[in-house]
Amino acid sequence: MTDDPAWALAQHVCRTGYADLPRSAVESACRDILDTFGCMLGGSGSPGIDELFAVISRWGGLAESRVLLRSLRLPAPQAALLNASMGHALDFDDTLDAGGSIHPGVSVLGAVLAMCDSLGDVSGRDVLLAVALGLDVSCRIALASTLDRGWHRTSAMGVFGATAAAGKLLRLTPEQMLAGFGIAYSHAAGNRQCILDGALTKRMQAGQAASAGVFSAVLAQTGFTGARNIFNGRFGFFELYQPNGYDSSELLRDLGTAFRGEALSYKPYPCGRP
Amino acid sequence: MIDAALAARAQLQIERADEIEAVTIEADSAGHSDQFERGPAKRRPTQVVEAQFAQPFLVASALVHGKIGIAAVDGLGDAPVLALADRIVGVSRDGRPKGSLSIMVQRTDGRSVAIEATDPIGSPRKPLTEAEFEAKFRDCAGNAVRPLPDASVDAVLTDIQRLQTLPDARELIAAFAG
Repeated sequence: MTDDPAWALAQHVCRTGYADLPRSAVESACRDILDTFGCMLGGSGSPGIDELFAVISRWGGLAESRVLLRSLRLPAPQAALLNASMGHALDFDDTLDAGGSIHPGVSVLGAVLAMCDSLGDVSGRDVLLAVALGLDVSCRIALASTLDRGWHRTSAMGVFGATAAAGKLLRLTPEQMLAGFGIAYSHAAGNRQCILDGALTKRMQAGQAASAGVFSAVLAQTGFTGARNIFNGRFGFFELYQPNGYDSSELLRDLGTAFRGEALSYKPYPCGRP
Repeated sequence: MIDAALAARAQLQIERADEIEAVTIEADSAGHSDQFERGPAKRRPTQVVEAQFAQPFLVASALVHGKIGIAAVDGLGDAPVLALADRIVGVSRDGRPKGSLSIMVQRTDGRSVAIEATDPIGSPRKPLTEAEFEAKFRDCAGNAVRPLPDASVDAVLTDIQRLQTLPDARELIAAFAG
């Protein structure tokens, strides 16, 4: 297929079952869901959410997935965008201190909640597994990106975890999951200029990652293709996004035995850590 | 840094803003520049995203009120918080490890304390307790876009705890779907 680490990640996501998760990974996924869901509720009325809801709901579409605390169903990508934006609005959500402060939970859970409604037949164990794998993927990419290039890692890297989680619930094959990651790479964006300028795009970017994760996984299931040499290719993620600032071995170190979501921090205060 | 500010407040038994004589935050040169050489928004933010990353403002809020709540950040500070934020002094110290911080707080009666910021509360080495997770969840629910019945909050907390046996994950969102 390819010797890019994305292929190993795709196989890892597709072949890991609930029984393969160490108890600590299940517990950390459950903790992350609790914390992230709470942040979604807390941010549901925050500045900018009404505006996002107004624009997106005006376009409407397939009444597929629910938006928290709004009496409306929307297409899964749009519901994911809104729920994840709420979850990041307070800056109260999980953070990987050693990984450049990525907040991986909102894009993962935002994608998962939307897919639960879209698919219907999803158990709590399915959710725990999808979240554990999604957090693992996002955190690994953040840990491998060793230099701060100003990306908003929550979105630019979180989109891969959201894709992993959505793709897991869709039961993608490893080949489809690789395509999903390739499509996600085409979506990978988001910067921290919004923090310096105090802009609401910070919360939107988290939603954008969740939405793109759903879109990437669903599109990959159709046979649509994405880049395959996603991380190490000539125009891959590391060369373009992290020049002279990456350690690709971090992507696969202890893959399948260590689940990086276990290292997440949970904030006691609704703010960054300046 | 918020942890250190709250610890200083507790150690000095500060209850009111007018008991605080001086506050100094020491950082490495880059950290100092980020917070004290970027204009007035770090002391008096005008937008919520500014407030979330404004160290003098957040430290002042913690020292004045003894906590950092959702409303305090969203509200961009009251008069005592903003007045104290204006008085906080930033110091750049050569040789400090990158990202390290300390705070010195002095009371009007002359007592003072200096505290080095260490692993933040909530990190894997200082994890939140189960009770603290639940309290955070309920605090968030209490700040939702509309009031949420306690029964709905209790139900989703129970559903999340029993996810391993929950047959239909759509139940998670059922109580908050409209």
